Amino acid sequence: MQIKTVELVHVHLNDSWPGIFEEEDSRNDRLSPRNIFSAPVFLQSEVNGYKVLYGFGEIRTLQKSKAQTVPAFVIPRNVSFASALNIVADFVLHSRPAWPVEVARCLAECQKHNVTTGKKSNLFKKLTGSESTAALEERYLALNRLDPLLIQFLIEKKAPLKTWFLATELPVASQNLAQKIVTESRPTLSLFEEICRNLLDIYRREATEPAELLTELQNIVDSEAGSSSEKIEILRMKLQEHRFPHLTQHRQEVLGILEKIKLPTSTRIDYDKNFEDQSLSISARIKTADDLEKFREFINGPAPSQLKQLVEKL
Amino acid sequence: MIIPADRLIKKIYLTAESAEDELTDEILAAYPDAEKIAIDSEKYLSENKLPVDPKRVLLLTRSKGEVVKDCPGTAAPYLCCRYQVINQTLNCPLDCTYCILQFYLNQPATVVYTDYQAIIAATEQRIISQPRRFFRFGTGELGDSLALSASQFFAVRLIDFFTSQTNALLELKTKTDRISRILDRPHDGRTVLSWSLNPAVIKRSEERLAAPVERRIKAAAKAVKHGFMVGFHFDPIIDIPDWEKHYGALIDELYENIDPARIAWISLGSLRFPPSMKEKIIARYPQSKIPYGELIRGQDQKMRYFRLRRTGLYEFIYAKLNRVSNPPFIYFCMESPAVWQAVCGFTPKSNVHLDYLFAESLWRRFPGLVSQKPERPVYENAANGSVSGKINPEN
Repeated sequence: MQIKTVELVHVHLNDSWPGIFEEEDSRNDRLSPRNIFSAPVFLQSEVNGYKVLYGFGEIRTLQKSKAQTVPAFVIPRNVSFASALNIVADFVLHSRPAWPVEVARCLAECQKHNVTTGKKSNLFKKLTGSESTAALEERYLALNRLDPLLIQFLIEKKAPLKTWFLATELPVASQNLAQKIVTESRPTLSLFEEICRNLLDIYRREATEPAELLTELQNIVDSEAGSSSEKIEILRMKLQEHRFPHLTQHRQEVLGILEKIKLPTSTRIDYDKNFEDQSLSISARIKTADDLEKFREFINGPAPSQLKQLVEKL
Repeated sequence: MIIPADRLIKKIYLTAESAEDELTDEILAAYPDAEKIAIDSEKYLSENKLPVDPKRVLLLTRSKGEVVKDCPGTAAPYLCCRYQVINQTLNCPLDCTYCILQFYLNQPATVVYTDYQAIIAATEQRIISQPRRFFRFGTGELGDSLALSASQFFAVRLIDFFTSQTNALLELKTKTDRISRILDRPHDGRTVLSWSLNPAVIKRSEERLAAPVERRIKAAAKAVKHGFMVGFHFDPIIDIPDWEKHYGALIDELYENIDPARIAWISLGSLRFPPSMKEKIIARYPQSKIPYGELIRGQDQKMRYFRLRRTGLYEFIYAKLNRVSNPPFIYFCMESPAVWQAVCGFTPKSNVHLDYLFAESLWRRFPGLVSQKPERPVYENAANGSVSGKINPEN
């Protein structure tokens, strides 16, 4: 491998191909020599020029800026594709772990280039730390079908592998909805996981996509009323209602009773939201004599019968 | 067609020490077509990283560590009955979607301990240690008691041993109808043959290799004719569409065939499993719907149906099971006091109290079985192993 200054006109860039590894896109100071080393370009010689293995963003930026050349690591033509991929993988892994979608792209490229099973497994182990199995490779390969916006979201949120797989397991309409939620409402990773998990569980339980529910959820996301977080909360509730109908109904009945209890301002009632523990706790923050008096009035007034009703309901 | 589990066994490993055991000869003869491989010790299997295939491979060896022990049950506040387990066969050839064994026992083979004399001696030791307690022992905790001939040969020896016990019963729990080796054994009323039951629709979807439910009930009827007490375990109860219709029909079928007076006990327990098992069930049994029920994380960290859903299921089944004269003793396996109270109108005060309720019921319903009338404080102190006379509330 050599470091060469390559004429951009000889670099073959396939605009429809996302590349294999995610790249840093901040190149504000591309004249700084430091950037050559922090985000270099990896090319492999071909008969009529060079194939890009890493540095797509950089090449595109340079092409747009009408630059003529790019400094690059050039891997000779006689080096196998698997070896070339390993060189780039080593470079990436030096600074961070591989994203699951990058593993998926590597597997797809290995298939395309007829890389032997042994070499593919070695690369897989290098990238993931796990032994490859046919089933696991299948799960990874499915990541190649994820929408780019979802991929971007999962990378940004540093999603664990299970969340990536969860997203691929969603059927088409649910995946589209998930992508829309991500784009429009930017949920936290745990909320995203909860939404996907519930969508998937409902789909698997009913053995079909719940069309009516999906339309309802889509309308919530599309609605102009409400903030992103409010919409996410409504959507979450709707999903909960569908996934856990009896539990949700019971929660609502309990909330109905709670709403009727006029608690003093410094007092709160806590209970197990899953209702496994049939008890409640009351905590009161007493700072002034007035707080104490209000709490006393509550306890000596309607509290016993209301709390009894609540405990019975729990 | 149901394939008897024995026919699944293709390979038997036997350790050098196990090769000397009488039980081993009997087991090997029962699997004439299986490949037999002699090994120095069970380490051979782990060192050679053999693929995990317990449904097709047996490992005959001698027991290491405690084989007879308290049922691990589950954490408080859920109540457990202080059952005693004899783990001679570890794993099960049946392929039930909800079964924890296939995920919990990550061994390349179904392990069968052949040193039955030592296991029986350990059982006897337990019985002797608390003479005023009435013990219930079972071999169906980490495997099916009767699915494999390898387990049955041990079972018949246990039946013989229990005939001479005065403060203990043996329970052989199965989802098969393979009782021909057992039926004619003299048992002196000290063995309970029991079956796990679920409606046929659940059997078809979740208990692929188990015997059809009607055959289990017919086998139970045969056992009753041969003088055995029988037991039934509605466990795991699964929340399915039209569950009332299905469980109702199952109970009707049960009582049409079995006299409730011959039923030692019936347990009720709803579906429960550790959270990590959900993904494993989905991967292994993609058609199963059980991971998608209204399951919440219980106080013991196991996934289980939301309490009021469980209560609804239990209330119906409990009421229907009780709608006979001389109804059997019905108890919950790993349930909370709140559920007991809601369904039965009372709750055992502790695990040891539940243990007492078993003894009292057996004394009352099966005269002569329990030699002394269990008196609660005395029994609970004795059963608790306490010398101070105080009851340990943790038990």
